[in-house]
Amino acid sequence: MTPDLLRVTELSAGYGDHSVLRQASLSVRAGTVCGLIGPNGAGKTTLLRALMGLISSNGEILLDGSPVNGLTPLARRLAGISYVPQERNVFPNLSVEENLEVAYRTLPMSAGTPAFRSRCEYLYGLFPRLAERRLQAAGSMSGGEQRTLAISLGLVHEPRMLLLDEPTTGLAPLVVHQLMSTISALNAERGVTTIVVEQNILSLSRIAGDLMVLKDGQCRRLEGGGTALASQKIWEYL
Amino acid sequence: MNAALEVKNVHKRFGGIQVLTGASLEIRPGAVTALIGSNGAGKSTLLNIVSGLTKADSGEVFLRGENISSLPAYARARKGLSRTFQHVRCFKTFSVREAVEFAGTPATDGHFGRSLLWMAGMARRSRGPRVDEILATCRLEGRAETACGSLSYGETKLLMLAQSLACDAAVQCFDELCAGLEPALIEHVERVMQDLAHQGKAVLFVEHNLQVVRDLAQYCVFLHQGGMYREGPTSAVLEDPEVVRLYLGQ
Repeated sequence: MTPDLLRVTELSAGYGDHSVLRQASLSVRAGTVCGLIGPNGAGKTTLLRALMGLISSNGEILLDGSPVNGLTPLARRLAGISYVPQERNVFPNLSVEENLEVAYRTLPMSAGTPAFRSRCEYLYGLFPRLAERRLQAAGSMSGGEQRTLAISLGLVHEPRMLLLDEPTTGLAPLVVHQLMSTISALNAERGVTTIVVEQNILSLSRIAGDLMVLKDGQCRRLEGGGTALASQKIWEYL
Repeated sequence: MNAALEVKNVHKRFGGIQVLTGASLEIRPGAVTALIGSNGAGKSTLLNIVSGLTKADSGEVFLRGENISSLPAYARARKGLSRTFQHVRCFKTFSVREAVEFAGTPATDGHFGRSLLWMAGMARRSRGPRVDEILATCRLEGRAETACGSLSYGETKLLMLAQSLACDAAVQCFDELCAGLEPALIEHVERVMQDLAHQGKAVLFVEHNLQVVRDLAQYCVFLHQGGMYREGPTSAVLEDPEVVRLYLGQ
């Protein structure tokens, strides 16, 4: 049995008096792609933000057996967690490559090194459109292109635990196919454990080995993973 | 039948990048038209030009036969053109009700004094029942007094729909309104947009969710490399081998 890379126990989080996560528990096996689904407003984004330390939470979060609860978002990034939010978080006035450089510099490594160049080329290989646009201001690119750049920023330091919040939003069907293949490849070739929040059930069912449902502040595993997801009328179930 | 919205031979360049190269389209009243195309094809740029947020290098935009190419965005809104944005945006400290009331207020011209009058509540008398009806239509009645900044992503999308309904414009444009919505809500949004068309409104929407395009649009326009590449009945456009190759994949 593959060990868990992430184990969350009785996690609670919310906004002011509004409680969103209510003692939610979950685990993600190392080297898997785990799909997370649920209705709008169920708390999927809140869960990812709590895992990244962007909002305060109560409960225990273990990454590879070590607690990360008390760590800042940067420290969690150093520990190997990377979060790509639903909104396209890019620096609009910086070029594609400058965006990557800023993301690279968040960790104590210097940009301009051969390692940075090599990482850029790796990312351009994953997303060839970004290579074409490498000198273009990110804000002048289309919404979908900015989205792929935001995903690249999450990958600029190879994460152990990648949190993707609705990565296919705003992407053309062909690009969705390519992105899902890329997530699968990252998982298969690099062993990047990934949680994908997604409303695009068809695409998610192709890549998710495990599946979790978040509803009423609680998280539970859906047996059968992506196969079950594809065969069930999941939204009627929800 | 006269077009509700007509775009003629629009060109737009950003620096060294030619985004639109002679884009043209006609949107009919009482019909739903989908605008599809790859990322970077120029769909949002075209909507920006139609709504007056971006100035075209050349080409013209007609609203119900009137050339509105030189009008600013607020003047186009007054004449009956509304739009939503791909990137969700709202007044975070407004309540949902206030945000919808604001959208239903005739567009100001950016005049500071008039904006203050609105802020003081002078422009929102006897709008209650209409706003309540819109909030119920968009399933936001339970969130009417919630600050917009506290809404979830999906609820913010519903708010944008509600604001568009409050504008009551003859031509309503939606930029990826269904992106990020759960399927049950998408079905609801589809019904609301169909109702708009039944009321005689012209609906133009940008969307990557092909199920939505199939369900909703009578007409479809495929934009490729900044120009109209295919247009016609939705099923014919989506089954076109070139559209499949360039946009849909296998």
